[in-house]
Amino acid sequence: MLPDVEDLSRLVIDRGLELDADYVEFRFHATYKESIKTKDGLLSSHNINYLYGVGIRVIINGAFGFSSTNILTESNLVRAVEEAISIARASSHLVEHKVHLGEEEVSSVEYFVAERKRWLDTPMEEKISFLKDLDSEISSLSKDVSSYRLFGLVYRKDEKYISSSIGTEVKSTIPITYLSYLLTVKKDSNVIQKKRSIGGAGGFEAINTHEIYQRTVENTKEIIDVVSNWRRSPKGTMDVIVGGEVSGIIAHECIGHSFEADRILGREGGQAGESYAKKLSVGEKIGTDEVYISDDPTLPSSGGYYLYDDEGVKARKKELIREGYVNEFLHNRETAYLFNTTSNGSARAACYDREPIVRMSNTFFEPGDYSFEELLEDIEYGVYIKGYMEWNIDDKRMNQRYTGLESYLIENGEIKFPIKYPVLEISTKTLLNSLDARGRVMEFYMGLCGKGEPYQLIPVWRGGPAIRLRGVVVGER
Amino acid sequence: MATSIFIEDLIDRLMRYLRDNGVEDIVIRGKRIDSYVIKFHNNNISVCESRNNVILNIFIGVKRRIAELTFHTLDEQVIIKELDKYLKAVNYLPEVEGYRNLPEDTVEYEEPLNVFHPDDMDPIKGINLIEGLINKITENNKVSRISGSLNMNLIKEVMKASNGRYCEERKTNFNLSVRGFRDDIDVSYQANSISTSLSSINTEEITDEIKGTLTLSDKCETVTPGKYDLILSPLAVANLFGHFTELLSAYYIENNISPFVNSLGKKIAADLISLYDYPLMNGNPGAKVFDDSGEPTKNTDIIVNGALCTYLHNWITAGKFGAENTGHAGIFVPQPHSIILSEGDLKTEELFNECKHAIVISNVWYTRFQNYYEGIFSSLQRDVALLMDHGDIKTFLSGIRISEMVSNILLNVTSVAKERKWVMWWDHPYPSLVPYIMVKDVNITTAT
Repeated sequence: MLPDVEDLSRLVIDRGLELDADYVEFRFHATYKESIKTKDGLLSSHNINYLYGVGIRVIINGAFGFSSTNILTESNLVRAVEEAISIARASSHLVEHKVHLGEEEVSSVEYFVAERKRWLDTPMEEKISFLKDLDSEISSLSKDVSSYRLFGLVYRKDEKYISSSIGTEVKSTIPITYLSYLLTVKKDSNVIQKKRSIGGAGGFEAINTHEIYQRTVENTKEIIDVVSNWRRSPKGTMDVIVGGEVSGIIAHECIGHSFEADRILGREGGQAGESYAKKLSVGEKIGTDEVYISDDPTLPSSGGYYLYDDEGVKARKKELIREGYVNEFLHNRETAYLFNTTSNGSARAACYDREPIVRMSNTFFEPGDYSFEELLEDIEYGVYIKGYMEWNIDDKRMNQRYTGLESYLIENGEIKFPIKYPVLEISTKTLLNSLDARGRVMEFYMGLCGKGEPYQLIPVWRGGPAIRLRGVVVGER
Repeated sequence: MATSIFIEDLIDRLMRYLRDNGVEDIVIRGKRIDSYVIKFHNNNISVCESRNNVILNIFIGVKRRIAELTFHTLDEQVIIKELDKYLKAVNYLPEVEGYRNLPEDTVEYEEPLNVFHPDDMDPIKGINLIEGLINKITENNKVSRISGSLNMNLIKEVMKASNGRYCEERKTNFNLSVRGFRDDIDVSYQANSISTSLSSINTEEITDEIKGTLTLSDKCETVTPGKYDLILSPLAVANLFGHFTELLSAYYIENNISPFVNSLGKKIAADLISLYDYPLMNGNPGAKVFDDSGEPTKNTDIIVNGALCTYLHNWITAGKFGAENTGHAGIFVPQPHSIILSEGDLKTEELFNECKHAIVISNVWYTRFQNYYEGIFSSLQRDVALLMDHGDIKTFLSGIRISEMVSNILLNVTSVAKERKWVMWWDHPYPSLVPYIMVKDVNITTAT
């Protein structure tokens, strides 16, 4: 039986205040996760994870303490809050800049995402049939290639109860369903591999909402075409169009992460890294007038969906860059205070035993008004990088690389033929100052974003339209 | 409270319940983890954290259908409810490809020494250690600030399996990772110390490394792309060899997501390279007595003098490959416990002096693959790099991306240092005992 968490939270908060804590936050967080994997159409693994427990965060003498446990007895929870206070107090002389939290509106609310086709009521045969049918269709797409196919159907449901000493009380239930795949396609001596995840908030109906089956088949057709017909990539300075999958990872890696205020302050310096935005301020121009990038947890059916963050602050869309100008950073209550602003609801914790830290949700380039043909039409010679496989970025998020997978040569405004592994290795500054047009069709992909110590993986969406970069350097592998 | 007796009692009841419901293969592992994390940045403590969790892992094999269930609770009703759900669905599941029952042979478990130091699990000792570091590193020095973390873990685990196997293990590990920053020229250096005891965490060495390295030059230039000889530090070696060792898991081999497919017995690395996983080594911070299937772990020679001796196996993949079980379950994905490279002949100082024109890379991160089958990857400089000329330091370098094939890195190792160091950090999760190595003709790119 699950415990009465409301009673337990009152016990914890009261005990924390008795011990002179300035702030006590209680989060009961249950996560149910199931994954079913197939290899070349045969079941290869089945995992079920059921995790629940309580995370307690306190502030005392200007220092943060955090304690978590999944032994949910009254005595153990009292011990946990006492320990959080004890270690925070013991470290407070090493906290020069005392922790304060921004003053936010106190939320008392309950919300949930309804599953229209409940995962747990959907027969196992149906889930496995979905994977087998998909595998069967993909394996029969071409007789000229051989393929190896790994599929994973994943369901995750997070249920939280957050309360605090300032009166916060937020209850939420959010399910997510998505497909991850890794395809290997061989054509003669050529081998290509593609990883991707598609899905979002909801139960088994997410399969249809996000057209997972159709999109996976279409992507496989593209991969087969590329490996069957690719030619050497051009290199040099040219115009480049990147598709929504690539613009999404760019928005996430080079803008989203850099705009996390805790990174800007150096709080991830020993872990996920720092940020070039340390030297930026709101209102500064960092890209062309066409650069519009946002993070919005309130997008319905999205992979990074929530309406209240893990500090109980109401979530909203954040326009990070507007018309090339820095508009706002991602904040929790701690960083908002230090930036003399208010939290924009960006605190997230991956599990009951992780502290809430500044995170992205659904990060994307905003759509423009170009059709794809209009993006192409005045490019004499360039490349279209529709999808990618390898990517990485440096600690400060300035030096990045995206290596194309589904990629094509553009000549005289037309797509000509697939090309092998064009490399966009580019600085953030060059990238944002070369963008001159955005398509109007949006695409979103699931991702698991890593940050924090201990490591926290949280579900996000990354996306955007196709975007055009003028006169950038393309390399080849 | 979740005492060992309570956990064992619950495991016994669950074992009986599953057997009564026709389950043939069962492995139940109950784990209690107590941990502290002290995270710090810019010479300030960011947060002190305490964790006190119990975890139950249950592996079920019934009628050639298998599943792994993980519970972060000891609530018997919750666990039974989930087990019932699975057992009801099992008849609708297809058989798992290549499954074989748990082995029935009798085994003995070996326990490494010097892996359990419970008295060191004191957060106040940890806070004092961080305070000392901040004072020592930043006083009278060009190092402006330090960030990082101290992780302290105490793990008690008990395992019982339907094939009669039973074992317990207790261990502690401590991991201090410190990144020093020199803001005047925008460079950083990361130093690391891991051990099974807090008293063995070497803060003096960390202090000397950070202060010493960050003052080796007063300028930093962007790298010019091209082919370079590289000297890779233990942190950089651990990151790259960590990724390479994962790709030696039989799971990756059978799924064609590794460059080491069909490589058994073949030369895949320079003669200087021998790679081991010794979970039974005394004092190994990655020590492990049994794997996730209850199989006793063993010290495994993976690569010897450049030749690949074995993939990493659990009992299922060993059966499929006709190979010996190396005790690396992961039920579904075999994985390394720790990574150990053989020592070389040269003192580290001699290795540095030996190079004519080379780049020393102190740390890499974000290693990502374009194609696992062909081993095409890139990895980024994380912290400071040095341009060396005949043993002299010319300048710090920035912007380095190693853009290579796995085979080129492994086959082009020309020197291995004698001294090795245990390392592990945020972007490298396996405790690794590794030396400095030199690799020739490595392709380096950078952003424009």
